[in-house]
Amino acid sequence: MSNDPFGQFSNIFASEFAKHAGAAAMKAWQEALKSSFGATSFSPDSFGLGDGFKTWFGEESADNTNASSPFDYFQQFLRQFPGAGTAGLGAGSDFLQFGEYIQKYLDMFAAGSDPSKIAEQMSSAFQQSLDQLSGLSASPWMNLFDKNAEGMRPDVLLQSMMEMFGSNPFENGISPSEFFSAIGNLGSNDFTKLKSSAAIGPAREWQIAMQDVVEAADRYRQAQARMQQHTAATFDGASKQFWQELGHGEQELTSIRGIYDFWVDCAEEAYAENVMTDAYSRDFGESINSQANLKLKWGALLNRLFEMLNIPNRREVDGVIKNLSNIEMRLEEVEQQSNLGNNELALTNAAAIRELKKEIEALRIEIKTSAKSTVKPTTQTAKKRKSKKQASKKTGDGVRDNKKDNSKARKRSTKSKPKDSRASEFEIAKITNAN
Amino acid sequence: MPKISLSPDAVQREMKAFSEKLYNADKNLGRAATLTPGCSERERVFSIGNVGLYHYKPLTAKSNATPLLMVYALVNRAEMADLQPDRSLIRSLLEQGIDIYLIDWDYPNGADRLRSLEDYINRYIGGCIDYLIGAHSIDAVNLLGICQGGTMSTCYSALYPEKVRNLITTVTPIDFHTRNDMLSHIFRHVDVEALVDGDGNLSGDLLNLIFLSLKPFRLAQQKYVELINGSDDPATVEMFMRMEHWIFDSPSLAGQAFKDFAKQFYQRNSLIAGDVEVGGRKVNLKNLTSPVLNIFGRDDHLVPPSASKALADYVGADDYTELEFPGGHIGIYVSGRAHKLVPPSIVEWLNAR
Repeated sequence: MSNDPFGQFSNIFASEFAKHAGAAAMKAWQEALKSSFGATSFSPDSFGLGDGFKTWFGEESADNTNASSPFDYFQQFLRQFPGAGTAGLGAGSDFLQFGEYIQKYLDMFAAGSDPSKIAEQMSSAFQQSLDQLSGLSASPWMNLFDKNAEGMRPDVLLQSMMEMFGSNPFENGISPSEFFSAIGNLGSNDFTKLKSSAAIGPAREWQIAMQDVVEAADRYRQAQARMQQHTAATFDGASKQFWQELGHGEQELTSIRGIYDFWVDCAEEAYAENVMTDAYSRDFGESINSQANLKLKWGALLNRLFEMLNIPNRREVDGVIKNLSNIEMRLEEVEQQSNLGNNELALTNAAAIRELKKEIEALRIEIKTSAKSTVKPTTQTAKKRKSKKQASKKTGDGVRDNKKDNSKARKRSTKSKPKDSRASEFEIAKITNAN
Repeated sequence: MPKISLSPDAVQREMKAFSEKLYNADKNLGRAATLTPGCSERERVFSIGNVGLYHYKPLTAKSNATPLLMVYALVNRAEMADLQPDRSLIRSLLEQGIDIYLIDWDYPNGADRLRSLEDYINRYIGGCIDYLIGAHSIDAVNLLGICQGGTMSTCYSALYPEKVRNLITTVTPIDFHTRNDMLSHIFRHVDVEALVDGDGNLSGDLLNLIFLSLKPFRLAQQKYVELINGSDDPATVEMFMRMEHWIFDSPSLAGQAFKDFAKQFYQRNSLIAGDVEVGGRKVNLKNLTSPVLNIFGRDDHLVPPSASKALADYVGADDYTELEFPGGHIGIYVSGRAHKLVPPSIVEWLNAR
């Protein structure tokens, strides 16, 4: 469990949204397929169907799990992957459902049902699916508000919060009943009334904060509804394209997978077309902005509440982070200055050592000269001294010498570089050179 | 008439086979569930806070004396460049004698929310480059940036050209307002300030949703259907699971850095206008005079080729080379074709300079 309830809240929000939107989207496109299927004038013969299809899974493998069908089994299997789960849930099962739908309607055609009635039935199913989509409750946030439209009942709120957090977020702080009682006693127990009530009296600031949350939730709900319209438009466009192209294309589809892949191509194309409109960009922005605004307003209300209950809140933590960040930066500066100081000290010491060595060397010479005033140093000794000097110089000025060496090496490298860098050394699809 | 040619028997066989694969997939995928990306041996040699500089253990004698510093994006993790031995850009470069360092951004937490773009470019990239210059007693390093890391590397190279000997950008956005840039398009009207104020850091989960939403039918559905079809091939499953781990192992983005990047680059498209500001200095791409190798994916849906190729029009380097790879944003690092073509091209280009 995350130690950051806000982060956890955000994560669950996102995953719940994906789960609901994904499920609704899948249902919508399946229904769209059904609808489109019925709207075209196919005859069973065009599919090469005779007696229709029998049971898909009649010879299903022995099942040693609790799953009653491959569909259930796939759901169980995918739930193992919490990270990928929400977005990926249902992919395999949807493919199976896709096959089932095709089977069902092919069977109806094969049985000689009236195509117009089948089309009507499919259209109705599609419309129901769209209705469901547009009424979709986008997240636990909205559930929280929906559940409490009749009043801010602490037990319902707690349940909603528990669902969102996965556990009681206040287990180490105040008791939930204290928390929700505090909210419940703040003013109106009716959101509708709360929204339009004049903010007066001792709880004025609390009331305004709560009104802000309610307004933010309304804005968020409206933004999500617009996004759902885009989703519906995408499926509509994808469906039209699917059948239009299927009717005129050269491609021959001989498997369910082939039909499915072709559907995905159409859906992606229709989706991209919709996404690249200005309306989509604005509505997408508003969906994100309204969500951020809702979080901010919620945060402001909770900040106020936590402060009242002497529980650390976002504002306090942000203050600590700012202080910490400033201290870190200051520490780095001090370290850099310290390193700089050390370097200067080291350089000074090295220079002093060099001077001292020179003095020692001179003294040694002087001692030797005075001891053996008639003996000159041998060539061998002189060579050694020279060598020592060079070593000493290298030690004292090593970095600079190395840099010089590198500089030379680079010059050599630059010279050896081909003059024309457009030379096509790479065996690849395409290499171009702008210059 | 539609060109559907289905026979009941064939369809029944197909659905039965798919069901059986579905049934067996659990065992096959379960075995691979714990596989994680990352295969080359490395050692942390330098740190700035929780950001680490890693040195990869050489696999052969050096072919290039200048170390190569890899700068990954702040989105997802750098293991994508080292997925598994036969699909690793890093390993391929090591095998060809390149001395590789990589900055690991770690997982920013709530306390990192004030970390800015300036921190990433000057403090972290700059700090690591200064470390390498000191440790190797050199004047400049070779820099390889990946995606957003390429954009940051480009900024650094324009600000400090004397410290970058060669710059390699891979799938790197430069012009953020090209016609077919879907990500930029949907982000145009997002109130970045409010988003970050509400979230602190931008959560990795939200980022995942946004990326998935660019191709929802392929990435959230078809991909898994394909997985079931290939679930009886251990190699396919293993690679898929490593990729899946990489895709959803998403660090949050430090709030301030995201704010800086989204506003300046995605919304204002300031880089090509010379208006991006880092630490009080404007980034002028004309100052980027180091040799540049710009690699991009022909079918990249996240960073369209046009967004990357724009670098040619603005960069100050005389020595500029483009390499178009026939693949997508990720394929350029992990596909078998990329593995054979991209690393040798990089090494050849580097060793010629």
